[in-house]
Amino acid sequence: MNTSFFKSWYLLITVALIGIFIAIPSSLHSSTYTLLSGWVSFLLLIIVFLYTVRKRLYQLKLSPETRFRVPLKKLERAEARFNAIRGNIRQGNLKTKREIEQVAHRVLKEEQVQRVLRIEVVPNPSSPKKGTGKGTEKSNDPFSIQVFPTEPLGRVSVWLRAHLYLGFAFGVIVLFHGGGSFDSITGWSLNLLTLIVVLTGIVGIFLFSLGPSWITEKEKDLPYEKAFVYRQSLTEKILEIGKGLPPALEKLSRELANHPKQVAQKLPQLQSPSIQLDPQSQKSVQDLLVLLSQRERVSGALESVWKIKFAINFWRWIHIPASVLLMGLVFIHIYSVWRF
Amino acid sequence: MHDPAEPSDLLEKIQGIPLFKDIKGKLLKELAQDVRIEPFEAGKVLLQQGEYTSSFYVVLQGLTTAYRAEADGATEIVGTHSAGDWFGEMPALSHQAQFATVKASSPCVLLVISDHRFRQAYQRVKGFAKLIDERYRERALAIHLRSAPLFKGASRELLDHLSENAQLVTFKEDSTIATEGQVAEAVYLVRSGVIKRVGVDPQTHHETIQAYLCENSSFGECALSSQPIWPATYKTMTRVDVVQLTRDQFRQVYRKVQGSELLLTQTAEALNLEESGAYVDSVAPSSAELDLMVNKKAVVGGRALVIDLKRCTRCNACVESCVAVHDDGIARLNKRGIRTEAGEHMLTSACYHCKIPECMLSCKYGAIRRDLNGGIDFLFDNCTGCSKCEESCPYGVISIAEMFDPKIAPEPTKSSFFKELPVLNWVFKNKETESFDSKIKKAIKCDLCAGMPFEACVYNCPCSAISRIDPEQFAAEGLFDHD
Ligand code: SF4
Ligand code: SF4
Ligand code: SF4
Repeated sequence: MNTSFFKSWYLLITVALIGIFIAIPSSLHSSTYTLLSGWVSFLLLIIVFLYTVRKRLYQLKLSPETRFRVPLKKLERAEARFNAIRGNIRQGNLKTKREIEQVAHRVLKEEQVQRVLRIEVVPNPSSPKKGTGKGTEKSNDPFSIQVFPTEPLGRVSVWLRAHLYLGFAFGVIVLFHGGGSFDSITGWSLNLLTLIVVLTGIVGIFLFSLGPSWITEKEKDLPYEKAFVYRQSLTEKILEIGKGLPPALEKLSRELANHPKQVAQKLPQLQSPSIQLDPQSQKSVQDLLVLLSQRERVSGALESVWKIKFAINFWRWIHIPASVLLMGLVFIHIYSVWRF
Repeated sequence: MHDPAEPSDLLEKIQGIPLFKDIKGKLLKELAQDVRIEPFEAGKVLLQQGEYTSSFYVVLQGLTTAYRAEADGATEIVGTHSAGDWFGEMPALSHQAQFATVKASSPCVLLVISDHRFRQAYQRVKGFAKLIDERYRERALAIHLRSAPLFKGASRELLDHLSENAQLVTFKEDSTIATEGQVAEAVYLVRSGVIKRVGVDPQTHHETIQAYLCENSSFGECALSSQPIWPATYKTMTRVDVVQLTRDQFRQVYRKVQGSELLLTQTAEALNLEESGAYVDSVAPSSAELDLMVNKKAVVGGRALVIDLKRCTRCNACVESCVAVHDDGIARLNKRGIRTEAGEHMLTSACYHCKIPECMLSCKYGAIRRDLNGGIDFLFDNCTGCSKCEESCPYGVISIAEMFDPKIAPEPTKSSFFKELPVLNWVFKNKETESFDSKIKKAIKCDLCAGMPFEACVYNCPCSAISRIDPEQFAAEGLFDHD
């Protein structure tokens, strides 16, 4: 199970936000409360949607941080200078963490690579291992400079957690905002859509955290990629053996090779052919039967993985359209409140 | 600044250098086409200790000095190079980091040769290799020996005598250097390559990998102890260059340097004692993951991209994001790779940036090099698409892709929002494909998203399922048990 989805600072933010809205009503005028909860939930919805926007922009190569690319020459010059700093650390010319950080940051700036690289200066705990173990030259410096990509927008996995928890907070605060009212069409549809989006999201996240283990379990005997290639090669073998058979059986074997769904129906024709076969052809038919049953098994394994893949993704068929609709309705709602 | 020397002038210059006297004919001409002459000001650092270099240097004019900073902060001058001398042979040969810093002591002019040409000459011309090895023995071997624990307290005199006697030996991949239970006849220091140390269970006869040894590791200290029996079997996993010192050679040295026998045998006994217990805590028992990594030679990989299959929803975002950062639209990553025995982790087919990059060794055109950071880069212009690297990479991470020749065809127009829309996308792609008929073949592999502020696959995985891991760390720290 991927429990990492459930460990996030956004969980705390969500709890805090919901807590605040539970605590407020007694001390605040109701229209202020409605306005506040309305705007906060709108803001949350925007943040939640940004996750999708970011993913889409990236796929379209329009994500802003892809414009940060720096020429390799600059990276290499920076790396050469980091090596020089490492030499100075080794010789004891740079002693404190602060000193090293200052010099390293200057390199980042002067080589204009600070948008793509960041550094961390860490104390080097490990002294070289003795004897016949590992290299004896490593890790002797008191500090090491580690270089990492800046990842300016943060990892998508962090955005997903924001999407999850803030989406949930949105659902709850929207309920507070409307007071759970189902008496107008807008209130009714907004509440219903919110409920659908939040519930499908919750189902989704549980499926995402459990699904990979199910797939991995299924793949233990035959990994998906291997099964795919294996099935292909079995089909090719079936076609090849079929070529050496009398025309009627050759046609049948081609059909069986190309249309796996017809195997159950047409297999008896191969098991007891209507024509007399020479010993060589009889052996080929036996081989074909073995190959067909092997392919059935591999196809079965592939299908079970597909089924899980489908199962862990089906909720999106409801979640995504419902979210788009919800976004539309929210805008209509805000416009109508502002206009009338 | 490059010297605008004509190839014929260069040929003459090279022929005039004693180091190259045995290189002749086609090889010499090829060498002349692939060298450059560079002037440097006094004080300029030419090579930094610890950095990787893809060149071999010969001093044409001036003086350079090599000095090495030791762990205790002391700096020692390793040697000076005047006209006709050379440096950079160790990184160019064995792909390890430069072991000393080299500085121009006066204004100087250097002949710079790419590492693949240097290796070609070293492997093909015996006389050239002999000169290089002799100089290595004179200049670097004593210092190299000192890195082995056995020689830690040895005097310069003792080290010099040992260097004179030592042999430089090369073993092919899959050779057995020593067998468990047999008499240990020599001490070895690894110059380059990877060796695995295996123990055999006397009852089940199962082999267990206890450790792997990379450059600068030593083994066989037991040869000098009172029980000179190999405690394990040592097998090569790649081509391995070692420094070998036999017991006879030690005896000769003992006669020349007073007190050396006592010093070395005592150190060997101490190391032997330490070693007999060392593996119990450190690496044994060998986990399934460790076996996998070692057997699949992943240990020579610097940084492997690993997918945690219990987190991965198989959404393909990693592959798609790799496509998105490469202008040629070809993914450097596919989710086919080596799975651990339990099937829970997969080493993907993205480049491991190997410590011993087989791809680089196989490329005749100098199209693969190691950058200063140790990463393995392809030089697009030099690549002829011959596919030798594809065949030699043990992990199958290189693919040969067909693409437009940027020298002939204009760059494919950049993607835009409208061009990505369903129908328009099809129209644009067809138009672009129609407009050029000249395609070339180039080798491609993971370039760590060079120049980008992220590694796209890791950056875009929504499930934190994919990460870059040092295989050594993977084995040592059991990083995969994070759930
Ligand atoms: S992006 Fe992450 S979850 Fe998706 S396929 Fe790649 S590794 Fe798996
Ligand atoms: S690091 Fe970059 S180039 Fe390498 S596989 Fe990941 S996305 Fe592709
Ligand atoms: S391409 Fe293959 S051999 Fe070369 S560095 Fe990468 S993983 Fe190693």
